[in-house]
Amino acid sequence: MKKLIWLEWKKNRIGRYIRNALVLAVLLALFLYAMAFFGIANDPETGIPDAAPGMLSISASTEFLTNSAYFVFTGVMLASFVVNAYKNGIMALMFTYPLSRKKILCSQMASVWIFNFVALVITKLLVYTCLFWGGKIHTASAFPLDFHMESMSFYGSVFFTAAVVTTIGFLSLFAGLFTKSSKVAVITSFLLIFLTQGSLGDKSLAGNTTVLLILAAISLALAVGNIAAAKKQEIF
Amino acid sequence: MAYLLETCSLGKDIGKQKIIEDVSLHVKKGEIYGFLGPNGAGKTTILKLVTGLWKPTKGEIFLFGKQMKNDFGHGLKRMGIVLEYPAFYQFLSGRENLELHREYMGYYRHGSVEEALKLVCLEEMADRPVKDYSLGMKERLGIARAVLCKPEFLILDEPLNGLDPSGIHQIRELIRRLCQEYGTTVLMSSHILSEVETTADTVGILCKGKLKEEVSMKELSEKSASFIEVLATDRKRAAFVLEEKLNIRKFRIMEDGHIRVYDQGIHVERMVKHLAAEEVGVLSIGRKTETLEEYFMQLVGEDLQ
Repeated sequence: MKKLIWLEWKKNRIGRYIRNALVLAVLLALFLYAMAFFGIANDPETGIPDAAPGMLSISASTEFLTNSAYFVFTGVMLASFVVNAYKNGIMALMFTYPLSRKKILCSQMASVWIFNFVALVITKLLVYTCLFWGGKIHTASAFPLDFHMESMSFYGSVFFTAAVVTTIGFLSLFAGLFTKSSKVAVITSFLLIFLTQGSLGDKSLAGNTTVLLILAAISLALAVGNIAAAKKQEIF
Repeated sequence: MAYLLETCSLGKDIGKQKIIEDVSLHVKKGEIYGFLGPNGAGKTTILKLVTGLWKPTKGEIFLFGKQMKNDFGHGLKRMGIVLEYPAFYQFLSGRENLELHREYMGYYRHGSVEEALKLVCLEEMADRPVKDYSLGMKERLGIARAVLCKPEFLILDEPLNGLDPSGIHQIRELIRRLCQEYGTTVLMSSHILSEVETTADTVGILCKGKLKEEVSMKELSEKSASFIEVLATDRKRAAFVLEEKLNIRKFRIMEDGHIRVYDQGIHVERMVKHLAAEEVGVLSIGRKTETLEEYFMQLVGEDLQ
């Protein structure tokens, strides 16, 4: 399986995605640093941050932006690695290899999941580290720095959120596969942002762990179902 | 007789439509089997069924002597396959595509990629991205990929599509060479009858999802009627001479004006002499044998109409 995952990365030119993930991480870190310490989100008249309800702490903004970015990143990668493979005949080619179809699909999904999980963890840690050191350098912050990098639970939370977000991101894959459209996969990833990170009035699912876990469980169940069905799948 | 590929009453329905019906194929080890049929006859469907990409609605498939059900892995390891238009990773080079294929097939013989590229004359383009390749070059790269791991059984779906005459010649020679030098069994589908006629040992003729006939080229040449073909200045008068003066009953006037005489034992010289005596000019005359095309048309002509 390790080799198959490696081959997936190789043939889909993973170098491009690594470069893009690095650029994304740096941009997010710069943006959130500027929000916290240079007051770019402050109202020019009052000097108070012009933030939406629920976004009054730096960790809320960090989680919103990093999670949203990786819903889209995961959606784009899934569209390219899996949905397009069905569309351009690559999947038919893959199914003519003397490998189990389950393994082929598992390796495709795992290659995207592992990459996005690791990239999201690194991005979150980079952003929080910048904010942490910014807090030491700057005397004041526009947003309260409500995270504790010294605590182990902080890292547990980063890993847990990254795993849940990446798993939910896979819902876009099943929308894409169902409609046989990579565009639908990418659009679904945007819809996932609205669903999980957006707010309606003062209601939001952003902090609702139960709902996020249910979505992740649905995504996981669809992945398992999809892999199990591969054996009898016919590619037209 | 042990067959490398055998199908028994193979059928495939999609919805209520019967795509393939009761097809029993027999491909012998080491032969080139030409799969003939008009567009939409079901050639690609059968190839998809025997490679496990599609599941048959009924019937059985035996590959390398083993019945294939859900797991084709055992057979696929020993096969090289080109189905429809070969798919590639467009942004990778031809060489990288072949190297990836080798990795997936678990075949690591040193120099095999270079050999395959050389076989199809793609060494110069090997390091260019596949997106820059022409249709013919992609077809050749597809064939290079199929033969890369020295398969025992090669399945080629319309392998000559998009190739120029020199490419067609090259691939035809390659197929023969694989068969003769390495004992590779080849199943190739085509709707170009002349190509199958010059390459195949056995032909299977498919029409509207049914296998009309499976016959070796040797049997076919024995079966095929030989005839004398005459082109005369006045075909009506010529027909009169043949019937009345030479007492010939089995002849046919073709649409292009030629007359085909199927009666055996009649000599060309005698025919020319009688036609000349009756002042019928002979523009051309010669003994011929029915081509595969004519045989094919006899078999499927009615269905096509």
